[in-house]
Amino acid sequence: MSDQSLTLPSAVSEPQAGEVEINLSAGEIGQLSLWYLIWRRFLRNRLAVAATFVLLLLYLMVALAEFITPYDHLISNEDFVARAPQLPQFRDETGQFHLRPFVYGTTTELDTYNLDWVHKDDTSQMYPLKLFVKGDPYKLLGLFPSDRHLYGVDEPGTVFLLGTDRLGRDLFSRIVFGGRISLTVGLIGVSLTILFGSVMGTISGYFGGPVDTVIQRFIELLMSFPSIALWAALAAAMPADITIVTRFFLISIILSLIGWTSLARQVRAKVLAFREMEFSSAATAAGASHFRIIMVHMLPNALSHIIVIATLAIPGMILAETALSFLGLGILPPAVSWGTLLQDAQTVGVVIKKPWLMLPGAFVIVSVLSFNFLGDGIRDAVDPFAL
Amino acid sequence: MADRAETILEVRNLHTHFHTESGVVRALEGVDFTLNRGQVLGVVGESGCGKSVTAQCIMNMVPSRGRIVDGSVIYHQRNGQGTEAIEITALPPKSREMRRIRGNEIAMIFQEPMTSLDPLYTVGNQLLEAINLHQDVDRTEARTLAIHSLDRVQLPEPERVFASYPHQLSGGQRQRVMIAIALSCNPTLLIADEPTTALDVTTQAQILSLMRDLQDETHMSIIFITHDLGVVAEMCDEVAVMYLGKVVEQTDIDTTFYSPRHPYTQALLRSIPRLDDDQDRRLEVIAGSVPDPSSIPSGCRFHPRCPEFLTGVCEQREPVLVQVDEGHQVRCHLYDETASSQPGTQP
Amino acid sequence: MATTPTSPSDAAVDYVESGSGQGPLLEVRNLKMHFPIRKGFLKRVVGHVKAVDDVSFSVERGTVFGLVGESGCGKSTTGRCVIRLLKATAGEIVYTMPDDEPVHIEALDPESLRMMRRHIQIVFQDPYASLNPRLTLKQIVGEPLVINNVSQGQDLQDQVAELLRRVGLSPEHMNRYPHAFSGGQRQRISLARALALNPRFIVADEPVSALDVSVQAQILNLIKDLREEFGLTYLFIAHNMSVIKHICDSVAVMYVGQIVEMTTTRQLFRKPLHPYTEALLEAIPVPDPRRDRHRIVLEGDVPNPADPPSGCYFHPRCAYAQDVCREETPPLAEHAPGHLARCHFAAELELKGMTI
Repeated sequence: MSDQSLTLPSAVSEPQAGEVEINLSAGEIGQLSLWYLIWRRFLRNRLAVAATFVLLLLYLMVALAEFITPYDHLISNEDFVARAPQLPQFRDETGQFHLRPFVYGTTTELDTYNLDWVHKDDTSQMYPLKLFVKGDPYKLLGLFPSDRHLYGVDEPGTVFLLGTDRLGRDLFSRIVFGGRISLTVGLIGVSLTILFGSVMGTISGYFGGPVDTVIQRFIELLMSFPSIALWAALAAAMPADITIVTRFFLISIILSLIGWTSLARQVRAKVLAFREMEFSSAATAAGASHFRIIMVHMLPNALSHIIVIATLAIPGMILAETALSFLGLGILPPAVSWGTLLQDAQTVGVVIKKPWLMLPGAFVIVSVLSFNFLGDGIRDAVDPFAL
Repeated sequence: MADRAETILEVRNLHTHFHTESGVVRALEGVDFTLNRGQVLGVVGESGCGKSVTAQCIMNMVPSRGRIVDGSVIYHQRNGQGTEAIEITALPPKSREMRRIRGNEIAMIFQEPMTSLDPLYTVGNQLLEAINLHQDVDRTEARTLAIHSLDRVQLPEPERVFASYPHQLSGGQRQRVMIAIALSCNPTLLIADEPTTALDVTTQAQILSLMRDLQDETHMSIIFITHDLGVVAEMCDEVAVMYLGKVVEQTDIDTTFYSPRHPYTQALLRSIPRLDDDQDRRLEVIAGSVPDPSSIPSGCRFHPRCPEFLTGVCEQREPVLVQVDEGHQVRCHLYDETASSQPGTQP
Repeated sequence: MATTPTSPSDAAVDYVESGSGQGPLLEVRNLKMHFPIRKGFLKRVVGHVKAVDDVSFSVERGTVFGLVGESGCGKSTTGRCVIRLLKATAGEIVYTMPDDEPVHIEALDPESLRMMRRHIQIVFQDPYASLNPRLTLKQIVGEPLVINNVSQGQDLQDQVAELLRRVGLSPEHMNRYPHAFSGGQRQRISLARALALNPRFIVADEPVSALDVSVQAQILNLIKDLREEFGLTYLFIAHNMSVIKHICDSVAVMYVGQIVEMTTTRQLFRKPLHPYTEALLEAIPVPDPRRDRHRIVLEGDVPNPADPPSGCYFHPRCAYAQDVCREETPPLAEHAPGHLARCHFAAELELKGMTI
């Protein structure tokens, strides 16, 4: 063979381009949507999955509040003012073991030095904890009338697992009912945030130019307000005679008024990136309208990011509501939220002598942390497919 | 060259695995090659063949999820009398000894000159840092060395470049700076990982010509990693062809292009568009595409795409590297006497 | 339009070429694309990047016209102006309809533009960015058909299957997502999408640059096959001279927003008239170790298009530059039949081509 030219064996019979057999290595994975792949990755993150369970538990608890709580959270009882938590016991004074947990009764004395009622466990009285006891009547989920409660003790015994407040109301019941407002204010606020944020962010990023400039300057203006002061001013401006429900919705709107700005900025950044991506150019070249490009090519790709940002925004909303209510500007009594419950824990005296009144704070912390873990988990699951 | 036959680097049966969430990715499954002192070895292959991981193994800089599970990299260091063999893969990656080897003995340049330089520091800062790390010189001396090294990579106005930030330079100039940094401590072995892939053709020609000049001048050994057979033909003395984590063929440059033995090398050469082609020639194609590293074919990894596939052999047994000629190794059943009765069907 | 294409499967007969079938399919005249440079709080315009500066060329029916140049030379911008993904600053883009009616693409209103998009399609460079990861193959390839109300339901499914088969993909993979496919397969999907509306003209913007060597050949062959099968005309944008050589009938070489040389591929490679073309040819790494490795290398870098040099843009890097090159901008003049070059000395220089 000649040394001067490249001598290559040509054993292959050339396949025609139309006939080239494509072997897919990725197999069935190809059938799976990105959402499913994200879900699989999410399940690998144990902390995030645990956080999800905690949150589901909390939301289930507040949804079934009437059933879960042993007492009506509004009924006060002057015999048990600021009673410490009654912890379920298994072993009595004599050291005998009881399979069914029980709580002790209460003896009340007047502390003549401090002029304060002091409640102590009366170890002579033992009330076994029972499940599904009859109690105050209610309507479950507003539909099914019932008078059964998850747990309780026979009269005249009481079970205040987390103690009572200064009017003798069961703190556990109040926390569960307070969670109804505190946990949902975040959800409603975030829904509004998502709505404002994605619409404004998409418009700003997709159309650009003067529209973008106006929206961005407006966002900067909103972001430069001190948020607590703005919330406080708006909350104080609310008429006093509105119903609890109206007030609750107004608070959600106030919270999302500022919350949407950061979401809008991040959605804008995403849309700007997608606008440069060739798949949107390809859609334009195929004759797609602006509306179609936004709805089919931009939003679905931005959605995972929106979900992450929204999840991470919920704790901020919960904290903001708590802060407003703590300051007396948010939810007003008799409605309860974790913020109003914490109002009782404003003095050092409480912190020292009645520490259980700070327990609503623990619920705030647990739910805020859980949302953060959940948000981080979703973000980690989404990132590998980030564009 | 006088030192032609003296080995500087040996890579033996290297296996490197990565532990990912979706399982173990066997990035390297048998990489063998030898590099002689003063030579340029081209490592060629398509995406996913493990050529960059090989470079990381030689530098002992495998990312944290990766682990060298088998094989070794042996570097022959020259000292006063003769050479001393250092097993790089046996050294802890962060040890003092390894740090000394990186930079003083082996240096590396990367594909992306934009991200390999820190945008916050001037070129001078980064160059001085490299010099001070490995050489005991005072400030003025270091500065002189730095300016000299910029001059050596043929950058016009080295003083000005010294004071510039990376974004003030063009892609080609940045790659020259990277080469200057790599060469500032006079390494004996340079690993170049796709150094011209991100550059335009005319700039690529400049960098290749520069690297050739520097090699002529210093007689350093170079491992040149690329996917471009044209660049290989221009730069290298020896070629190792990789496919899916294995070296499938190693021989000298002329044999690689004029009488390759492995079906993959042959097919690769046939499939590239060439300037001396007849325009109406249909390009011959390699069927299919490079498999995903998570679903590697059994037996010979190339068998599903191989035109000379032997049924009953190739899909069942992994071929071993066979010496077919003086300095010519091929990993293919066609040349393995024990695997098939039929000798190589070489034209 | 003369007819409405309904199915890509009977592509060749869909368009009734009622016209003469003569003359160029696309003509670009004095195309300019200037991007403003804005500075400061008020975003005042302080200058312009002349990304495309007075580019004219015409593409004959059934041929492949190549635009070649280094990054930043304006070749992709030209391609995007042609299919109106960008609105050109000035110039004319004239497309000849099947009935010989010339259409000025740059002046179309949005509604007519949408109709026009059936005729001209684009394939992009990046196989990863050009497919929406949230959609299945069926949705991606079928999108143009859905948008333009060409088909739906079972009909749509059949057409997508046919398109996939045409580009060498199995229709069974229709319900898969792009992440399951390799770069080469993704480029096939892009081609299938571009073919969906049965276009006559395709802008291929570096379609093989991001692919592995062994896969490039598959896609180049496919592009060639489709041209014969569908009677397509291509504007093929690339930076790789070997690829251009392999696929194009005629070529324009671009440098800093301008065409510096334009002729048939054969002529360009055999006898280049512009020193930049010579340098480009010289710079290509040739896969032949027996070729002399030491060659003339072009000095310096591509100038910044916002601040190009005086006179001939190429003079600072040109080995043959004289005083006149620094001062006077050379015109793009015809130095041989059908061979244009923008060089003062095109007639005198003896430049090195390739022996083909």
